[in-house]
Amino acid sequence: MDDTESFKILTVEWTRAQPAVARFVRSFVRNRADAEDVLQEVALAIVDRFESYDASRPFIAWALGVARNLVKSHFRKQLRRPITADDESAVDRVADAFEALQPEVEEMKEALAECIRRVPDEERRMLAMQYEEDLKPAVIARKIGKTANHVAVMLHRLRLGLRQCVERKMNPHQNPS
Amino acid sequence: MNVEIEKQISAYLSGLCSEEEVRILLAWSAETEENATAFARACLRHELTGELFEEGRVAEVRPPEAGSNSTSQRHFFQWGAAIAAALILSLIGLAIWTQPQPENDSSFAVIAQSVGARLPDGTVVASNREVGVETIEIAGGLIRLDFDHGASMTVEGPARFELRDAMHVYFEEGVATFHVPESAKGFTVDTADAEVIDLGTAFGLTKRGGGKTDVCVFEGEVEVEGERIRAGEAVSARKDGGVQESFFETEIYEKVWPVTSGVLQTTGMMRFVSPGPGFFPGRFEDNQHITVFLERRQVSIENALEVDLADPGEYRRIRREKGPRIPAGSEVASYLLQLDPVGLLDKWDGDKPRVEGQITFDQPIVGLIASGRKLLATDIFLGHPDGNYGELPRGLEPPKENLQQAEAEGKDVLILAADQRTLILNFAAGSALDQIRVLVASDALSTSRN
Repeated sequence: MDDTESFKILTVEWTRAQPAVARFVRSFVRNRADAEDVLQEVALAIVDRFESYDASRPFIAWALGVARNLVKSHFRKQLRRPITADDESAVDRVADAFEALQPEVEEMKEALAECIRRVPDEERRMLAMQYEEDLKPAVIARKIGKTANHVAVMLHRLRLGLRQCVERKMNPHQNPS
Repeated sequence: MNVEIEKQISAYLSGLCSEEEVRILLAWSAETEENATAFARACLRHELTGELFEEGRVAEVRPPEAGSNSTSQRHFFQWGAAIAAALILSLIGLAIWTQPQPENDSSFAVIAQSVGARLPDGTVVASNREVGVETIEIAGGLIRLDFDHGASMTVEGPARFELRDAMHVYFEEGVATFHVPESAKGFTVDTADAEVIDLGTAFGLTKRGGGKTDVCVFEGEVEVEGERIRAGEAVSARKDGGVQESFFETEIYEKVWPVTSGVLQTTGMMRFVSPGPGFFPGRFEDNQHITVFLERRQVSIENALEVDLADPGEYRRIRREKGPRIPAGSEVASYLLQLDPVGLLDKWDGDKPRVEGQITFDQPIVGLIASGRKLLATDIFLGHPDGNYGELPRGLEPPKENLQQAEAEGKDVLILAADQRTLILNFAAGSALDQIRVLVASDALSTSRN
């Protein structure tokens, strides 16, 4: 396979895998700008190491493997405490879980869309502020004239409700936990 | 999944967890595959929810706000992800596409309170103004800044300081007190003389020229130039090097500390007490003042709580019948007012001088507890964690034999003002009245620690 062909495969695979890798990175790197930096590092590392990719394995698994190492590296640089074995183990286990959850992501997204549409307007407005505008509870609280704690509690309840709703839709014969 | 863990994950996703809480959450995720999957699912739902809003698939019901910058950081991030993809494409000889980066909403704090504060040109400082990276100078008065991460900073003018980012303030001049919850641990205040790193605490800082910065730790610990300073300790850091122990003196913070603690103003004989040596919650001895102190910043009322008073009005005695209730789920801060002139507890003398005072909170008062029985019953969850409230009689309950006379003469009056934030006391010194617990709606972040 020549370089051009190889890069074509890389482009196609990365385009497919990038959303999952981005979700994984964002799950651990909570600051958006930092998450963007880590994702760029992942992209560059994938290009650099593509020759070592074993095409018999799923690309997503390999990409998440690269991402998990860079997330740990980010932890080492950013945390004010030493990174622990638990931190590393959590990153590895959650990366595995992300990979395992891949087949159901689209179904989960559709279920989630239906569930969110059922959320009453006022609460949906709060969700929009958190998710679309990326505002913190304290800022949302100022905008809607409530306390920050009220917003934090409401967001928790909304997440709980959405989880249960999604679980009911994806597993209609099971009782959500 | 465990309810507490789910709550913790939600706090994590809302950006409300401290580094220590994150560590605990990660350790939990690392325990089992099941835990890791639960954490991954929660994160995945969180990300997918964001994508759905971003894609406009879950209709947003809010009308656009005039002048608001609704550009999300998520846009920024997704653009960043696109850049990452573009980078790869560029490496294989394809075109990079470009597009201007949207601006971020850069505010990270709000001027929550302005008490007589004015700018150097005399302009009054308005409250409820959002602030970001900027220099603020006040010629006088007090302002309280509440940061999005839960920390608050109250500054007394004249003062000048620079907000460098959400976790970093450069303090040029003035007197300030800080309350920093776990969620903002690591909050740093720099001056020309020292770097003060908060380790989850409350402290006062004074910078008034002279090449030194005074730091006084009320609660918890701070690090001054690498040296750990604990509650009840004070130091002076000098520009020419060295951190020296100094006298723990809270008087200078008597105006700013109450505002940090949610009290806007006290008048008359009311005195807000700064914590420190000599401060014994519950039995603070001061026969010159009605002392007030913050017991807990944030308490979640688990079951509906009966109080003695909740409605505005003028009260001459606390009736023993059923009182109003604070609904379950409410979040309150609790304060204790002590009116016990030491040694006069058992006296009831109509000729004693008056004890008058007024206190105004920055949030509405939702209930007053003034009966001994209810005080005792609520000490455990509303009282100061280090409080020793003793066995002596407490509460707003004059002895029965004097009750009629007191009522007839209108000796003791407690007024909860119509603004629901101001409490006015006018009592005869020597009344058997001892303590009143004031419950105020909590505006603190859920990450605040009690």
